Amino acid sequence: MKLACTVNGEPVAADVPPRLLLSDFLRHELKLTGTNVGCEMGVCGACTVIVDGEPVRSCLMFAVQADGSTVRTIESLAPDGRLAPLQDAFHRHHALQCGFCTPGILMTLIALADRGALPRTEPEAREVLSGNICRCTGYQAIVDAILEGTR
Amino acid sequence: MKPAAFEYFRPASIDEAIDLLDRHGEEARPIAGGQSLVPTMNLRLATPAVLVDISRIAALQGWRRDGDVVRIGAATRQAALLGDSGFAAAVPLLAMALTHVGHVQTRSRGTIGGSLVHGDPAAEIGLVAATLDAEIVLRGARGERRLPVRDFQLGALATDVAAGELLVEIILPVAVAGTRCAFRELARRRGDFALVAVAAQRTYDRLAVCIGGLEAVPRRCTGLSTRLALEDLDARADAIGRELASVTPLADLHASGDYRRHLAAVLLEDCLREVLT
Repeated sequence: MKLACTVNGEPVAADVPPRLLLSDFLRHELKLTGTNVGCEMGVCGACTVIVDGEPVRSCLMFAVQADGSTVRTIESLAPDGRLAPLQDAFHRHHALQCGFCTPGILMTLIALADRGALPRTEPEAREVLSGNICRCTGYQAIVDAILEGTR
Repeated sequence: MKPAAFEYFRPASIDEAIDLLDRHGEEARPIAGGQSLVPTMNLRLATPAVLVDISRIAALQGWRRDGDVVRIGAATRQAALLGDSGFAAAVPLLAMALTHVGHVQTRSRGTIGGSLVHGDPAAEIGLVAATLDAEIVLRGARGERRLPVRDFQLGALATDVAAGELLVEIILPVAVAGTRCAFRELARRRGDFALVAVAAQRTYDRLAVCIGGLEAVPRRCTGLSTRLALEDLDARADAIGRELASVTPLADLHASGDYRRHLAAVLLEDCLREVLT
């Protein structure tokens, strides 16, 4: 099935089977392997990307459903190799250890930042993080990085 | 895991969608946000041969006020209602409950109708629909069918949608001035399905109270429907005890039946206190 969309600012056209998940399309067809796949059932949030401005779980969307859409992945954050401010805050606060969940968390936050809705308090930050599972950090450093990013 | 192969259609109108659903019968499933359907497909618990994507049908999107009711298009995304102050004024109980539905990354695609049709016993939208006595509008090749949500919610993950039928609209009453609402739930993780959830709405002396997650479908607390008998704390505790005495609660690895019954009592008291005082 024909599919045309924009990924990280580049037009993409492909012919894919309907059952191909958006996460697999990004990783296997476009080789954008920064988007990680954890549970593949919508629970862990590792595969979060931005579709038409909204953070979505790319494992719960078929690539054909992104036809005509604008998709942003973690690769778009530091195109020239310089970290985006939120990435930099994560780096300085040691908000990642294995890093597997980080792209999903960052893309969720970037979608919120783009509409001026980044969390400003710790409860708000934890609420937003409820959709992303991190098994290393215990979240505290992530919360610190988010709150610094908002200041 | 990966979903099994299927044929994909993206109709532009309700009529076209119904035509496709009618043609493919039991083989076909509508998909809107996919937040309940796609996990079951990835796990191969569901293997529909045909998906009819209704997410871009404009006539199924959005809500409008129509006299003393609100009509919500079935494919309206949860996030669209959550950010809408006009909707929160019209149906405050649903606006309150939506903050507990999934996460920011699932509400962006998840729809009102999708959650209702899926029929999870602990789902917040189904609980609010039961509390407010929603009316459900289904359409199929042989016409339209309207039914009260109590006849629509048949059991755990079971709702009265025939093959070839499409949920098109949910009708809820507009909250009149002075309406008081409360919604409480306990979940293992914020945004997960509730172990138990309680929704309550009081309009003058009339109370509507339902419990989700306790039984296969939302439980209507008919013994907790008048305000006067419940203002006294002891009387309220007695009424809650009587209401829960006959319940056989769901039990699973997340919570035993006894614990769910205990939670229901606590959350009922919290909600009743909130709407009564």
